[in-house]
Amino acid sequence: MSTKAGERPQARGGFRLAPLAGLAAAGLLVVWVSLATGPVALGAGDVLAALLGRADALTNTIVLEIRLPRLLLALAIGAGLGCAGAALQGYLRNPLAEPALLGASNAAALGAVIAIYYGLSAAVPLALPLLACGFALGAMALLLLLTRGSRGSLGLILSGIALSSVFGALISLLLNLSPNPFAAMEIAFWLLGSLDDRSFTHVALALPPILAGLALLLWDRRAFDALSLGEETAQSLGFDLARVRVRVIGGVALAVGASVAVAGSIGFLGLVVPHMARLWLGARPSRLLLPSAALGAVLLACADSLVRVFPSTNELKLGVVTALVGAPFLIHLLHAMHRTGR
Amino acid sequence: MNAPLCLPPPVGEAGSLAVSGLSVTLGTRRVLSGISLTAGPGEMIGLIGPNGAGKSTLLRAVCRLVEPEAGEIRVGGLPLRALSRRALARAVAYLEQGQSLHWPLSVEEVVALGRLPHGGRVGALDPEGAADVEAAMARAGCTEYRARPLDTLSGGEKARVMLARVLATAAPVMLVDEPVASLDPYHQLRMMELLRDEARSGRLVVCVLHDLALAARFCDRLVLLAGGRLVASGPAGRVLAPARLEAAFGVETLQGARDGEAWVLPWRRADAGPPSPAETTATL
Repeated sequence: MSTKAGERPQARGGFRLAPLAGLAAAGLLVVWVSLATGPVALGAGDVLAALLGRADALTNTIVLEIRLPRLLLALAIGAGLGCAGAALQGYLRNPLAEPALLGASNAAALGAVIAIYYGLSAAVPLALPLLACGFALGAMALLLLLTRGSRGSLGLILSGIALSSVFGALISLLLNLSPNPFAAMEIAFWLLGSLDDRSFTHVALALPPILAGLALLLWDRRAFDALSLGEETAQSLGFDLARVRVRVIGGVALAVGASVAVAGSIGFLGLVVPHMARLWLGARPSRLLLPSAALGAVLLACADSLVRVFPSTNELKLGVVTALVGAPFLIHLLHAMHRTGR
Repeated sequence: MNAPLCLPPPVGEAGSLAVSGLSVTLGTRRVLSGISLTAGPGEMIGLIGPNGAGKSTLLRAVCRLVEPEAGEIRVGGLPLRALSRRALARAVAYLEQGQSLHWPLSVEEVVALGRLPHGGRVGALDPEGAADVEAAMARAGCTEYRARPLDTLSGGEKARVMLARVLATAAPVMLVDEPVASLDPYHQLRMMELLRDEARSGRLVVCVLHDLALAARFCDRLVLLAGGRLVASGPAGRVLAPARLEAAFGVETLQGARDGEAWVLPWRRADAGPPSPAETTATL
């Protein structure tokens, strides 16, 4: 999405450079804020020294082992959720689509809850994220199987919602049957989403599937453009929609599954971010994928910095903040879009 | 219409279409049975017939949007099966009936979608593609409002943009399903002139039409479908014979000619009662 010299100014001209520059500046700012803020406040010099490994041992540990993995996860997960939201909205031609729509999110959460419920997460390291990823991929394979042969997006959406509801109900069932209130509390808190206490092991686990998911979603960017003319015309423009569907669902399963696996459910980001990008860059679906990823990354890192400095006895959960901030923001966006007649 | 830029003319026999023994079943319903027809570059073919005759299905079969049960379709001499979806998209441009748009893209962005079969990088178009988009917009007369979002345009303007999108593909074969359905008389004539100009420039244009008068005047050849079968094919004068139209459409028509061009006006349902005195006067 670069602006090349000699390129003709587009419809709503001059919009390209400003938001991207703003986004880059915001990105740098959030990186610094995220590494500097927390229970121990650090100055810019300390952060820089620690990043180069030249600060004292305590500062090194705080920056490199506590805050850096957390920041990297926030950026990766935000990018994955933002891009998955933009891709699904483009693919389904539906501004209400969000990464959790097709059930990948609830499936991953169910896998995680099972790991907690049966004590696997305590007994086997990484049992939780691995089970969550596995469930997300399995659920999306099931979705492809259920919608095999059908072409329209309505069947896909309804099957996805049905699957999502089943997994949601199973999560409730486990909460319902949990042997003691502490187990139920642990599950409930985990579901709220958090990046607390995540290490580079989590980064190593989540980053490859999220990047693979992003690659799969970006692969079909031009098919999303073609789909703005409807499915039959998109096919007549040379796109094999059966294959597009497999790649999109696979991409969502990888990006969203890995996100939920390491951070729990983080709502609203994937719904709101593409709308923000659309307001800036126009509605062409292919143009929204990367900016949505960038915007999602910055916003989630911001939200994660916010939960760390918010004065409260229990740590504020990330998923709670994204929903609390995201929902009013979406209302504001819709209002703005209504006003400009778009 | 003076077009400052020209789209490249199709080469050789690329703009030829041959359908033989085509049968299509959708669900349990036989929609087309044993359709055979051939058409070549530079021709303007009108597909006519009552609702449910299978006109749209025939176009969709040529775009491989429905799988035939029997028969073969050749485009540019090659069977459909031998073409990849991408290659077919470059050979055949298709404008579906009542084409809609799901996002408020600008006119230019919509027309550029017609270049998708030719690949190219993300966002920016190849120089040739950009030139084809310009030429298509100029031909369809939508250059002046190129920057406006499509949802702010009138029906006539939208229809021209959608046509420009199909033109931008620069395919040797153009299939157009009911291009004049929601247009006022002025824009209907303008659309038909545009399509005829495309045919004159060497493309094969096949369009589904319900307006028999426009079909008679603007098409080189008409193909009449009824009940999934090909009833007649040939020059308008022969296909639009009153008895044949009454059998296919169930209507009586008024026909005449002016300056050497034939006109047809559907007048009365064939199964309606005897004409009232007022109508009898009108037919005189």
